[in-house]
Amino acid sequence: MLFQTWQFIVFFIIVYTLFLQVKGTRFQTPLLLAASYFFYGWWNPLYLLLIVYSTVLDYTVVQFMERSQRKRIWLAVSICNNLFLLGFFKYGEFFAENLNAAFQATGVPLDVPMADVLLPVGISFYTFQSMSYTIDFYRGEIRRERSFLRFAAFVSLFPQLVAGPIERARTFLPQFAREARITWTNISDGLTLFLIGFFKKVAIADYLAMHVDPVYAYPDEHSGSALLLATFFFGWQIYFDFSGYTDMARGIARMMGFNLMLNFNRPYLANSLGDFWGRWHISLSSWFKDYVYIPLGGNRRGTVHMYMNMFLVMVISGLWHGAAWTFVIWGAMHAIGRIVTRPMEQTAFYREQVPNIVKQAWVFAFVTVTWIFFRAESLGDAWLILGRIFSPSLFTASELPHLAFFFCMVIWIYQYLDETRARFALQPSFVRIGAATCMIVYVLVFLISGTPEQAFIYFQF
Amino acid sequence: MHDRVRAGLPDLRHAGASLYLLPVLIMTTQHLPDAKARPEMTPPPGAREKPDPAEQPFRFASETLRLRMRDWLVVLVLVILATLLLPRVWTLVDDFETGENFRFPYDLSNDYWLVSRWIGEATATYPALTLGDSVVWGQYAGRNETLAAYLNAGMGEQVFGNIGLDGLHPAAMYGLVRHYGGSIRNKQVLIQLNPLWVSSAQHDLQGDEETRFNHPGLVPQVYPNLPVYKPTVEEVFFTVLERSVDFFAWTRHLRLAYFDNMDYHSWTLENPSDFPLSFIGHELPAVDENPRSRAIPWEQGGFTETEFPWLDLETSFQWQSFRNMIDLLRSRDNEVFVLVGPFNKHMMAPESRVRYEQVKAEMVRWLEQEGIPHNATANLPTDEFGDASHPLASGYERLARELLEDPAFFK
Repeated sequence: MLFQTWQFIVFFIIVYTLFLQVKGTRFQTPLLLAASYFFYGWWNPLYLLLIVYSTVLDYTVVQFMERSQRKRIWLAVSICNNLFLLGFFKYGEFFAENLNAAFQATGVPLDVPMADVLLPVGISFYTFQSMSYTIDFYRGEIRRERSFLRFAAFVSLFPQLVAGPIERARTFLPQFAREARITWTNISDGLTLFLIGFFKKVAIADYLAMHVDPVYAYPDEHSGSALLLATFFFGWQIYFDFSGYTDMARGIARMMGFNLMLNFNRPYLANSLGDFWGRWHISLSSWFKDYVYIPLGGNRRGTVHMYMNMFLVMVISGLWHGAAWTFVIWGAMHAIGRIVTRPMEQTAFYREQVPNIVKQAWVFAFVTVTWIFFRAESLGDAWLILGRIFSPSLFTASELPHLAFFFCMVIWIYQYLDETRARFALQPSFVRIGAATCMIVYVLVFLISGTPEQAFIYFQF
Repeated sequence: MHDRVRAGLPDLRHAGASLYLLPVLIMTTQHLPDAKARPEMTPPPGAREKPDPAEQPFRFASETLRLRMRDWLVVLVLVILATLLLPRVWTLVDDFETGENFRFPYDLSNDYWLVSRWIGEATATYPALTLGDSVVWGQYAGRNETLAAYLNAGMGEQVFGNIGLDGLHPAAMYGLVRHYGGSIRNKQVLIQLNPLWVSSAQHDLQGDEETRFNHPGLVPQVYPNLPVYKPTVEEVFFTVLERSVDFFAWTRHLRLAYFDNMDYHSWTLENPSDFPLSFIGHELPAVDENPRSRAIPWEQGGFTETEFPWLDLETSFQWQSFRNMIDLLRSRDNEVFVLVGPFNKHMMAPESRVRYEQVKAEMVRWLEQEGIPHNATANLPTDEFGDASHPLASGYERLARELLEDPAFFK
């Protein structure tokens, strides 16, 4: 059930109506849990087995951890279990393929069977969220959640279940223990976020996908300029797609009195790669920082160690996005980019003399090039695209879809102004009222029917 | 401070900063976890006490886009105004020229917003209308060779407006009159009943399997259930929306008339270099001056003698729909005249011909019972038919002449 479908709208109206009746009563959490499981089971009821198993196990592990002196063992049980689930369902085929290739290359007469399993939607998100509970408890940062229903609702709350933001137990769990506060501000905030997210997804991301997909499906049939253009648009597509989903998720949760964290903060205005990762998929970046980078030693053990940690985290982050070497390379490119540019960014010259727009431009260019590996169907395709882009065919004429370019530029200019002193120009109420009206009218006139829904990109992660 | 603004927090440089702090204080004191939940929480050994992170201020995203409730009310009013006004304003943009013996552009036969507009214009311009499927539209005839054109020629003035539409079977005709033909009131309406639509279960939309047919957007969406028609819930929803709200019929008009039957986004990608609003001012398809199909007698066109199963009118969905439409038109104070046929008997196998006469007699019997003036005598020569039911130009001319000589018609 995708947020932009009528099925979800009907589902939400029913759930919200019931929620308003039961909020603050003992039925609040059971209703949220039932709604969330229904939402998740809509994709495939079998998925429910997995999420229930994961939830029960982490809930039980923490119970044991509370009583045990050997907390580390129970933490290991939780982490191993979650990583096993991820490994089996998401990476099983990838590992088997690579092992078999290695066996074949070295002449070892072994063949690892490949399990034909369905990748459960959103598994990467809810396993990480659930792990944050066990780790935070182990660290003594949170109390044990006594109510299983509340914990299960925390793991599975439908607005953020399948594509985040990945919430932390310490900030999100307490929200289940209180009566949901629904105010007019919450509702207007929620509606605004939903509208913005809906527009980003349906009007822009899906539109850009219509341009990008055919080019990336057959990269060998396109010139360097066409591939560069498609890559440029993919950078915006994935931003609008994912941040649009997050906005909708946050809006829905906000209407129900829950606060989900900000997950995107104008990433293409970042002036360094470190800044980019502080603005892009913030919930994941901070998760890796808190639960991988810092436990590895962070920057406390010297520069070399810090760079090694950085590299490792970025590669793991790449692999988190997908079971393919393209994602690993994407992560590694970002890691190398950060390692190489970090000393430069710390110089006084860079900080004070280089205009901000130049910094933003190079970060955007670097990130855009790395998207090639993120989007390409295979490593071969990625190298081909990169080769074509840096070849004379870059200078052949390619048709620029005006509307797509217009959307990207308008949003970029808006975000740019919003971060500068020119922000005052965006503050009058007629600007936001006009923007909201235009978005709704645009959707009603041009998009309300006729186009099939496209799944969100981040569902595959 | 800049970071604070970026983070979506109130800028404390402004006067009255304490006002911003007030809600924070209220939140942190009043909305602690409820009393029932709190005792259940037992801190683990060594747990550090921290302020409740769940109570931190909500970071919106782009503060400049953050609408308050009163903003939403204004947006709602503006959107309603836009949906009401845009279709009306668009009539000034649409280059929709009609003129003498106009017939609706064939390629836009499913554009019910424009059809509705044409029906409105026709009812305002002509004292009488001819309503029917492509037989009335004039599949094998030029613009000035249709039944309406010959009737006008016979009367020496523009009396009949041609509101025939390609593929308009009786069920669709009923839907058209009901949902898009509200302006047909106090008019004289010549309705052509094409017996073809009761010649088989397939034409009657009563086949066993789902099939493609003309004008699904005009037939009942939920009840009665048509076995040949299995729309998705979305299709039903949007069809009902288009019928009920002029705005949505208009957006369909844009798709059909301006975006080559694509959605807007696909259209812009098909024409990437065009200005995205260049569709404004594009010309609509011109009126069809010439026959849509090659105007030759049916035998030369490759048609052969055919067996028509013919249905029992009692159980025919199309016949029932036709009767409903007559009732509807009469309830709107229209004077109705029914032209039964013409139908190409020369193309029928002998057994079919006998059954056809029975079916036709049944139709006539009902029309007489209801006191509806009609003509069922039209009998064109074989070389004046283009196929089973469509006359050629000479057939229309003969038909118009016969009608004008019919006292029932002329009355």
